[in-house]
This record gives sequence, C-alpha cells and structure tokens, in this order.
Amino acid sequence: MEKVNPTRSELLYRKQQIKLAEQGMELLKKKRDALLREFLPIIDETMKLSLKLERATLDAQQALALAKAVEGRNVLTSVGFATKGEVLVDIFGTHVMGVPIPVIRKSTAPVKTELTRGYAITGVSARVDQTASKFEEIIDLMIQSADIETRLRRLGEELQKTNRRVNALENTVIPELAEQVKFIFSSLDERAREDHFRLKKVKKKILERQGKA
Amino acid sequence: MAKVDLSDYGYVNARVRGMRSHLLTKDFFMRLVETPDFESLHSMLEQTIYRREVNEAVLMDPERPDYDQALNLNLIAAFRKILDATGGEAHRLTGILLAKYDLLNVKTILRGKKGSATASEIISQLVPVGNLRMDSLEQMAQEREIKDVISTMNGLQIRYARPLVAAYPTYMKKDQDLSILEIALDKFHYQDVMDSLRGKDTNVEMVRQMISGEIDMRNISTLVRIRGLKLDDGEVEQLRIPVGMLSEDQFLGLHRLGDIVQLVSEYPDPRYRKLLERALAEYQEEDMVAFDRELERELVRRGVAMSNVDVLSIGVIIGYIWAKQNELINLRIVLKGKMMDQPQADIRKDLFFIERESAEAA
Repeated sequence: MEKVNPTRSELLYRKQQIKLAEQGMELLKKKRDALLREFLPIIDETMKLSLKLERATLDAQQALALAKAVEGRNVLTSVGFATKGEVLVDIFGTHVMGVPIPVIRKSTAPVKTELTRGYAITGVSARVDQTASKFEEIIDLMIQSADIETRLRRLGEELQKTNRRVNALENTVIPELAEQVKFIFSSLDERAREDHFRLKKVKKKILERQGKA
Repeated sequence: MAKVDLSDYGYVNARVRGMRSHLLTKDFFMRLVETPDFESLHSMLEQTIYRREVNEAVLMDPERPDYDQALNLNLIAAFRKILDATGGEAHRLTGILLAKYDLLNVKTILRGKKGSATASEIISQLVPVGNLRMDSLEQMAQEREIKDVISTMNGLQIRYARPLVAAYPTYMKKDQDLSILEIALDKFHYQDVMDSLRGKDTNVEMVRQMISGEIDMRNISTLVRIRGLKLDDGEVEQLRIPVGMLSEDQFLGLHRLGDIVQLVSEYPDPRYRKLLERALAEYQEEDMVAFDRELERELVRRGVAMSNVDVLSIGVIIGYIWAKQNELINLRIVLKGKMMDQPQADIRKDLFFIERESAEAA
C-alpha cells in the first residue's frame, strides 16, 4: 500500500478521490457500452464482407485460370498490360465516441464497364472481360474491407483500453483508496483512543496529587 | 534433286495430314484427365508431339515447368512448318489465316508500351507465327512510346501502321484511350484481309468463310456485351467490324433492342440464332461467356469440317489450324484443372471435342 499520512485532511482527500474514481468508472462503463454497441454490428459486417471477399477471390481465380487456359497466357498478359493502372482512394478522419477513425473511400470506381478497361472490346473475348470484372470486384471489396477492418481494429483497441481502465478503477484504484481510507480511519481512531487514555491517566495523576495534598 | 512445287496442295496437304495424325484424340484426353498426379501427366505428354517442348520446360525449371510456354512453342513450330511448306497462293492464304497473330502481336506491343512493360516482358508474350518477322516485332518492342512504335512500323512498311497513324490524333485527344487504336487495328485488319480475299476461287472462298465467321463472332460478342449500355448510334457503329454479315442497320437495330432474349430471337441469320438460343439456355448460369463459348465452338467445328471439303484444297490446312488451336486449349484446360486440383468431372466439362475427331479416334 502507498504510504499514507493518517490525517483528517488526508481522509477527506482520499474520500474525494474515491468519489471521483467512481464517477470516472461509471463514465467509462457508459463509454464501453456505447463502444460495444458500435463494435458488435461491425464485427458482423466485417465477417460478411470477409466471406464475400473470399468467395469473390476464389471465383476470380477460377475465371482467370479458365481464361488463361482458353485464351492462352500471352493473350491475358497482353490484356493485362493495357489494363495496368492505379486505384485511387480517399482517406479522411472521423470520430466514433471520441475515437479517431480513418475512413477509406473509393475516389475512382474500380469496377469498370466493357468500354472503359483500356482495351477494345472488339478484339477481346467475353471470358477476359468477365475475369477483369471479377478482379475489379475484388478491388472494390478490398477497399470496403480496408475501411471496415480499420474501424473494427480502432474500436476494438479503444474498447480494450476502456475495459482495462474500468477494471483498474474497479479492482485496483477504488479498493486501494478504500483501504487507505480504512487505514486512516483506524489510525485516527487509534490516536483518539490513545489521547483518551492519556487524558484519563493525567486526570488520575492530578486527582492522586490533589488527594495527597 | 527434284524440285517440289510448294504451291501444290497435294504435296502440302500430304504433309499437313501427316501432322494431323499427331493430333491428340479424345481418348487420350480422357486418360490425361484421369492421371493421378502431375508426374504421370508429364509422362503421358512425353509420349506425344509435345515431348521436346515439355522436357525442355522441365529442364529450364524442374520445380515449376512452364507448360504454357511449351505448348505455345509447339504451336508456333507447327504453324511455321506449314507456312514454310507452302508456296504461292497456298502460302498467301495460310498467311491470311495466321494474320490474326500479327494483329495480336501488334496489340501486345502497344499495350506493353501503354502499361510501361519492358521490351523483354513484351517480347516474351509474342507469338511469331504470322507474317511479321520476329526481328521487326523486337524492333517495335524496343521503342519507348506508342508514337515511336507507330513510326518504326511506318519505317518498316508494316501495313498496320496506316490505321494507327490515322487514329493516333484521336487517341491523343481522348486521354490516350488505347481502345481507339485497337478498334482501328481490328477494323483495318479484317477489312484488309477481306479485300485480299476477292474472287471466286474455292480456296479463297473457304478462307473468306472462316474470316467472315470470325468477324460475325466478334460482332455478336460485342452486341451481347454492350447490351443495355447507353451509347449513341455513332458509338455503337464504332464497335462494329464492318465486313461481316451484319450490316450497320442490323447491328444498330439489334443493339437498340437492349434485351438479350430479344437480341437472340431477332438475330437475322438462323444459323447463328440457333447457336445463340443454345447459349441463352446456359446464360443464367455462366453469364455472357456462354455466348462466346458457343460461337467459338461453332468456329472450331466449321474450321475442322473444312478438311472434308476437298483434300486438294486449303481446307486441310484450315482444319489442321483450328484443330491444333483447339487441342492446345484442351491441353491447357487439363493442366489448369490438375494444377488447381479440380475434380475430373469439372475438367471434362470444360473440354471441347469435335465429334468427327472422336469418331475417328474410336
């Protein structure tokens, strides 16, 4: 236990600290509940998106393999040269329950039409088009996934931090303060008893002296 | 030494028929699909015409042999052999049939430049079986930009430079949209090929039928894919390859229908309509690829059937070219299936055999 001066002012100070800690704990519990309310639906959404991404990736890989087989790798690579490009995303910040969270949005649509992929539709089969479209869908899902997973991670971290704080207040800080208050109380009691006893002794001596006289 | 007349279909076709005897049968493919592992698949391929190429692929990289490249090298060798064995009109017509590889090579170089690929990356993807020489293609691939490629093509007097020079200003004006150059190339290629197939000669007619079928296939595939897109008539017409069976009005009319079911039911040519109806039945499940697949298979059927028209005609060469291309596709499908550990039934579903060939094998 921390070294405590068993004084009345210290007792008042510690009691004030307990009150403050309890208020803080209540607030943190409310924050934790609010974060949980935000967090749980995101878990669900993340799981769904992750499954969707997994399925889309498998689907795209199969389409690519079949396109490579039918068209030949050289045709696919050739088309790949034409479609080489970048996907731009916008990243900005927002706050959820005071937690800073980055928001990731597409600034250019990764899913293109048959006429905007960079090659001519007249010389490329539907199989290649379909494969390209499936991979564009993956990019789209990846951006959505990056956004939601970052949100999930940040909220999760904050939830963990808040939980740790609540636990620390509930199980360590407040019990310790209560212990200190108890200690100060008992010390003050002890001192009062000692004073009382001493006074009684002094009184007895005074009375004895007066009797002799 | 006796001089062989290379323009004589009798001599050339005897050689091509010899090459045709090396084509893999349906029974072989079925056994290939049933192989338990890659080693047994490799052993089976070792017993075929692909032996040298697949062994070289293993020597180059025993861990991950490049079978795709091996098959491609075999195809290049086979088609070059035919080109070398022909002379005169037979050589010219074979060149026309293989000119689509020139078109693909030119596009690959332009796409490579657009996508900042290195010269070696581009060169490794070329299929030098057309009329363009490999050294010319390499020279084009070494250039820095699309503009320089076109200028080199001009210098080398490559006919594809003409549409590219004409379309280049529009390409620059429209944010360097490569599809403008590619459409110009496609249109020029088919126009040029069809222009060189004039006359009433049976051999010319057979080649014309195949090229015309290819154009129709591309136009139908385009129509299927652009259905529902809001395009004005000018934009739609821009996507039509003009020398096929579909006229401008027919193409625009079919696009205006917007709906795939109507497009199929109102397609003017009954032969294609029947194919499209068959594809439509699979459409829900496999989306637009069903249409391309049906059309491609029809083209293979037609190509292979040409071998039966006249043994002393270009038909034997056409038949071999299409059968060989189809064989390569089937082999790649099996290799892909084995690599991806696909069930045998799934691999079989993707394969395509021509009935006549399987009957022969039986």
